[in-house]
Parts: sequence; C-alpha cells; structure tokens
Amino acid sequence: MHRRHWQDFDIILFVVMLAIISIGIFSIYSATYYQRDLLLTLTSGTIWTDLMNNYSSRQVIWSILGMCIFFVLISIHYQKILDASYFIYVLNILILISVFLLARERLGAQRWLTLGGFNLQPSEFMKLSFIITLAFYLGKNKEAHYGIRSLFAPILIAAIPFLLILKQPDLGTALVFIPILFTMLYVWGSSIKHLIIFGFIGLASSPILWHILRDYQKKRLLVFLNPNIDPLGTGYTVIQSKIAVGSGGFFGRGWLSGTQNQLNFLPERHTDFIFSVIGEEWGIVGSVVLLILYFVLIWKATKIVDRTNDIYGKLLAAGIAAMLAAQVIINISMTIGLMPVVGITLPLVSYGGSSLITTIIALGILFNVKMRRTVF
Amino acid sequence: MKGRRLRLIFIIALFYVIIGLFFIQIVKNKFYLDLSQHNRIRITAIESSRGVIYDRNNIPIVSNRLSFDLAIIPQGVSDLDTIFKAISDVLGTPQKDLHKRYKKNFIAPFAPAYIARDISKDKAFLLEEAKLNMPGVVIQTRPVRDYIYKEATAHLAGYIGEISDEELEGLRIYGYRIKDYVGRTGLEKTFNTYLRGENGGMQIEVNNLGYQTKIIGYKRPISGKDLYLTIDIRLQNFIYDLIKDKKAAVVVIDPANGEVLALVSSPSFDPNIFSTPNRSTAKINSILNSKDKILLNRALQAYTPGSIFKVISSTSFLETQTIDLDTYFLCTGSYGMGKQPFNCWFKQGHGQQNLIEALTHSCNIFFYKSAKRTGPDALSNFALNFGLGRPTGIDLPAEAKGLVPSRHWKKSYLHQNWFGGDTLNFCLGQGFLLMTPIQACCMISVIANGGYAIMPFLVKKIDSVEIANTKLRRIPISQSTIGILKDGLREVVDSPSGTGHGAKIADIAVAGKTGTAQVGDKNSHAWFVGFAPVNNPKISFTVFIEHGGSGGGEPTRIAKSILEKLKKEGYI
Repeated sequence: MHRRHWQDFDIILFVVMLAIISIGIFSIYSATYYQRDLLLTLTSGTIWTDLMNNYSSRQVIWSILGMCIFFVLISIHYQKILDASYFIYVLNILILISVFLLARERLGAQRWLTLGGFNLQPSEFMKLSFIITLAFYLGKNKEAHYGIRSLFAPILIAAIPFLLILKQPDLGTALVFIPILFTMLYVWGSSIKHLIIFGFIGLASSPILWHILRDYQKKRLLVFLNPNIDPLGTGYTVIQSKIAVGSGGFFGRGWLSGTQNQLNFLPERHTDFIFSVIGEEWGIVGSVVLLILYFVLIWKATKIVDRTNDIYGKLLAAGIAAMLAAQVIINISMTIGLMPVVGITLPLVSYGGSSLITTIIALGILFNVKMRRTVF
Repeated sequence: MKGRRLRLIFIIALFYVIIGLFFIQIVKNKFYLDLSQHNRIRITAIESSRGVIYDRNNIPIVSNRLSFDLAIIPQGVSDLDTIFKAISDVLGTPQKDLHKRYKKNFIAPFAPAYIARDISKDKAFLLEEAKLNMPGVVIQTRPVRDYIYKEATAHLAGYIGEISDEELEGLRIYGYRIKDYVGRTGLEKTFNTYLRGENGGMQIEVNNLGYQTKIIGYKRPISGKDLYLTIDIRLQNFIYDLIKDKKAAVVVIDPANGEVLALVSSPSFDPNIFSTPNRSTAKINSILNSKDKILLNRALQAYTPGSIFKVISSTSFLETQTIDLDTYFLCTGSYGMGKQPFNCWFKQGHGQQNLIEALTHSCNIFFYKSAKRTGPDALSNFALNFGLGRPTGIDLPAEAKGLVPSRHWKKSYLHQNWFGGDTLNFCLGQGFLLMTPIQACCMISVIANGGYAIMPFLVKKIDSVEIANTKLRRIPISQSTIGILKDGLREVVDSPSGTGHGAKIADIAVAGKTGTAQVGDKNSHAWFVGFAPVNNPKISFTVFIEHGGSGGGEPTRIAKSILEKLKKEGYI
C-alpha cells in the first residue's frame, strides 16, 4: 500500500461509518437495558461473563473485530478479492447448504450456525459473496452484448443463493438480492428495457413464490395491508413498533426512557426492529439524523460508481450501494408499517455479528475501490 | 452518470420513508402516545357492595357478607406443587382439583387465579398464617349478597345474577360491565340502579409478559344505596311459617297510606342459591324448572276471586240505589235463569235476607237478584274504580293486571254478546273476573280507610331520602255505603253463622269477607280479606290459598293467627 492510496481514504465516510456504529451500540444498550439487569443477576459475575452476556458489549466486540478486518481489507487490492470470488461463492453456498443440516432452529427458522458460542448467519455473508462474484463475472464479460441472453448467467448466479436463502426461510435477505442484481446489471450496461421486462417476468412469477412462502410469511404480507387482523400475533410487532416510533414525537422520549421498549413490549428490538428504539427515544429529529448519515454513505458509494473507471470497481460499488440502500429503506419502512415485515437488519446498527461484519467488510471494499482509483 | 440515476431512486425511496416518519411521529404523535400508555397499564376491578335492605325497624333483611377466596398470583409463584399440597391439606380438596381450577381461572401473570371460593373463616386464617411459606398465595375478601331470611323474603327481595350479553348491550353506556350483577326479580330488580354500587379498581403497570411491575393507581369502590322498607320482618317471618307448606299468598297493608307490612308468597326458595360463590347448577335448575312455579310471586298473580268480590258488588248495588238496607230477597237455594239453574252454596236456602245478612252468609241468590236489577255496567265501573283490571303500582316487577269483564270487553275480545248469566257470575266474583291478592287487599282497604283507593308500596326511604309517596284517590262511594259494608263485614266474622267466624279474636273487632272461587274441576281457590279494628282500621289483609278449598276454612284460621300476632306486636 502506498501513501497515495491514503489520499483517497474518505475521512467523512469513515467518520459517518463510525457514527452509525456508535448510534447502534447506544441503541442496543437501551434496547437491552432491562434484559441486562436480569442477566446480571443470573450470571456468576466474572468480568468476562458480564461482558459476554451484554448485548451492547458484544456489539462493541464485533465492531472492533470488524474494524480490524476492515483495515486488513483495505491494504490489499480489491482485485485480489475478486480473483477469489468463485471460491468464496462456492464456499458460501456450501455453508448455506450445511445450515440446513446442522443449524439450530431458532425463531422458527434455520439461519444460524453456532461456532464456539457465537452465532453466524451465512446468508449475510452470501449477499457480499454474491456481489463480489457477480462483479467478477460481469466485469469479465464486459464487452459481451447486452441482450436478453446475457442476463441468464447473472440471474443464475443470483438464483442459487436466492432460493437457498428463501428456503431457510429468510425472505428479507433473499429479497435484497433483487435490487442488488438490478443495480449491478444496470451499471454493467443492460438496457433499462430489458431490466423492466425481466422485472415483469419476476412479478408474474410471484404467485408461484407466494406458494413457496410459509404461512407466517404470507400472514406478514397480509398483515401489512391491515395490521389489525392479527393484533396479538403477526400484527403485534408492527403495531408495537408503530406505537413506539409514533410516541417518539419530535425530540423523542430520551435515551433509555422509551417505555415501549423498556417494558419489553417490542420483541426483536435489538435486532430487526432497532429503529423503533431510535424512533421512540430520539423522535423524528434523531431518525432524520440517522437517515442523513445513511444518505451520506450511499451517496458517496454512488459517487464512487461514477468516478471509478474500473468496471469491477463500478460494479462492486454499485452492488454495495444497492445492498445498503435496500436494507435501510426496507428495514425502516417495515418498522413504521410502510412495508410488510421481513427479516432484515439495519446495517451497522442492528445487533448481530454477521450483519455488522458483513457491512463493515462491504464498506471496506468500498473504501478499497475509492482508494485505488486509477488516475490517468 | 449512472450513479446519479441511482441516487435519484434512493432519494425518492428516502422521501417515502421520511414522509412516513413525519406522519406517524408528528401528525399522529398523540394517538401513539396514548396507545403506548395503554399498552402497559392494566386495570383490575375491585368489587363494590350492593346496598343493604332494611325492614321498617331498621333490621337488615338483605345485606352483604364477606367471602374468603383463595387465589394464586402466577408471577409470584415458584413451586406450584408444594403450594397445592399445602393448600390441599388445609382445605381437604384434592390437589388435582386445585390444579384444574388454577388452569381454568388463569387470566394473566399479574392477576389472581382463584382456586377456592367462600372458604370458612378458620381455614382462611390458617392459610393466611401459612402465607409466609407460600409466596404467591393470596386470600381475598369479596362481598357476597346475603339473603338473611332466605325463603321468607325471597319474592320480596328477589335475587341477583350476572348481566347477560343482551342486557349489557343496552346498559353499557350506564357504566355496566361484564360480570356485573343485576337484580333479576323483586326489589333487587326494581331498585337495581340504587342498590348497585360503583366498582373500584387498581391500575397496574405491566411489561409485555403481563407481569406486574408496579401499582400506579387505586380507586375506592363505592357501596350501593340502602333501602328502608315498610315491611316488618317479624311479621313476614311469622306469616311465612304459617303458609310455607302450601301454595299461598298473604298481604298485610296499612290502609291509611298503602305501606305494605308483609308480602309473603309460598312455595318459596332460598335466593342465596343464586348469589353464593359456589353455585350449584343443579339447585338453580331445580328452582327455575320447578313444577310448582316456585319463582312466581303469587301475591301479584291474578286468580278468580269468588265471593270476596261481593264487597264491590254490594257497593255497586247501594251506590246505584237499586237496593237499600230494607231490600229483602228470598233465597231458596236455587235461582232459575233460562235453562241454567244458578244455585246458592247453601242448598237449603237462607230464607229472607237483606244485604247485611247476605254478606254474612255469602248468599248467592241475594246477589243474583240484586245484580239482575243493577246490571253489569255498574259492576264493571265500580270494579274499575276500586282499582281492579290494572296493576296497583306496587314497587315490584311483573305485577299482573287482573281482568274486569264488561259488555264492551266481551264484545271486543271474545266477539260475543253479554249474557244474563255473565252478570250473575260477575257479581259473585266468578266468570271472567280475575284479581290479584294485592288488588284484593287494596279493595278491602277502600272500606277500611273510608273510601280511598291506595297505592301499595314497599320502599319508604333510600339512604336518607324519604321517597314514601302516599297516593290516595277518592272513590265515588258514600259514607253510608261504607257504614253498611262495615257492619256487614263485621258480622261475617262476629256472627257464629258468619262464613268468616274462624277469624274472630278476643277484644278486637275484625271485619272480613270469605271467597271460595270455583275453578272448574280443580279444588276451588280459598280467599279471606279483611281489616281491623273495625272502628279505626289499622291494618287490612288478604289471605289466599291456591286450590285451598273453602274460604271459611284454612284462610280464616291463618288470618286469626296473623291477627293475634298483630295484636301482640301492637299494630291493632
């Protein structure tokens, strides 16, 4: 690595990234505040066990780990990562398959692998593996014509993990594949017309997808249209979340004092519904601040798409931007009832090692691309 | 450049989200704030006591007692099995029953789940002492309706039951809630609004598992209002003992103002069966489905009155001046009217009689002949004047109106012409005529109080507010008629040949009239109405025995006992 590279190290982006991670840690602390008390009384009191039993502490640990990987990542050229893409892809697919065989069933889904006391979610990494692999493939076939037939391979590369993840079942993570695919194809050069046709075909086949969905996922979609059809069951989370966010008002109810969350009314509030904690405790002011931070992140990513001459770099940046944007929009919409509930994390904020590290790595690649912009 | 398009899409999506946020965080902020408050606050009700019902001497006849109920608060319990065993040892209930009840009555972790109701005070104290070793176990006291005199006041007081869904629909706006008690019959029903108290409540903060985290508010329950009756419970009890093995009704009234001193109906039931916490469906069903119609308040039901109606017939004869004291008719035992012979009950015939004698002996022939002269219209009019054919207005529900036939009535309802025989039946109190024991008492009170129709009532005070509303309506009956009737009715009891002689008591002059109402194949209804003392009446009464045979038999004996009791208590 040259000093030259450090010139393009985007300080603002870095600060924004750290800011969002910090917001996440504080929110997780608030979200798990009550639980923390219970856990402390139950555990046997060594510092290590206290730390490990505390959600926000764990998130700090993951963050530190993530930052280490981040700096390692930006010290190598991203082309090397791309070279390993197929290997990464296949490995990830294999791990995904093994999830079916080995995983513990938790919350009605098989998504996690337990390794040494930590839960890993392979589907999170798969998103990134997919981006890297697709970028590699599309970059390789840059000069090929952009007809309909050229879409087949990318769709296949997307379809395998998509269906595997869908079967876990993890509708949210699977859904994110779609905007990533479209964005990367668009940046690659597919005509918009083709993409629209492809989009319609996808929509037309959604009734088939409907049948693949499990009952609770179908219910979630129905409940989206009217949360009150099942207020104590499927609709409960959304109703509780809306109440939390809605009661935040302008400035919010203050850190640690969101009553909806303190009294444990909102399940999953440290993971998928972390935004409801932010909305309740920091109000619309806090929510918009967070949105602005995300906006900066994604805006910068799209700027990298424009300014990078390297097709690989463009594609990587595009895929990563799409992944982040899709997750942010879908997650927040879901917490306020603007979209049906799907299992999707808020990047850098939701508690979860796999999600956090995946996102940090993704941002690492982004930094990487920007720093190695060839200047002619 | 492509990035710009992507940025645009993202910005549009972001706008969608921000507008959504604005809408729910700003526009609907208050709405969600309210909801978040209610999410974590639960209210448990604290039952209030119903008002107490007192008799005229302030003796409580319906009140509330404490029921000791044993409950478990689920969130406070660590070892259910040990607790069940300990409780089972004290109560003697098998553990599996306790467990079943616990499961059945579970509501929420912070709410008590009842496992035994209305346990004895000793057991309650034992368990209270052992509570230290049994966390999560509570003894709660609840008010339970207590009908102190059971069967004797059953029809008077009525009973209460849980509000039904239909009733709740209409009454919800008045503050009624599910599981509230409402009066079903008797005074409990008529005065439900006053007797009903206001439930209190506790506001409890809960977390999402329903566990109580703290108590936020407490509202004291307010007892219902008390009723003060005109009834004398000693008299009521005494009379019930006299008639409890019969199908009968007795009413005792103060003819000057309409205060009801006693109102008894038999057969009766114990209303506690409905209000006790450990209800027995079998017992309740046997009451509801009883062949003898136990729930019926016979004092308010309409029956054929028979000869007691002669009081009104006599009035109509005298007031229309179709006869007077000097009118004599011959009773030979039978009277021909067309094809149908109408007989006197005394087959040999009474011989020449005037009105007073006719009343004393209850001679039918005299009345036939007089009625033929007077005609049915006068009979109908006076019957209506005396208050027959419509409810007396006593403060009890489900009062029958009775029936006063008339030429017009027969034409309208039966589409038949009035026959001569109808008049003859009418004047004897037979035929279509129907009267309730309470109407009979009001009828005789007209003579007793000098010509006023009274409105009988039971409640004279609610809490500290007097509500006694003595209503007197002057009837077109002259003092001389009243005098004549008093003389005649006095003879009924005084004279050894009087049909009511069985009611004669020492020292007090009693007036009365017997009635033996023919009701087809069955045994006739037995009536006796009267008042005492004749010169300055203080009480009037009706004794009615369903299918009791002759009016001069059982009813007069019962009346005699009642009169002796009244004398002893200083009423007469």
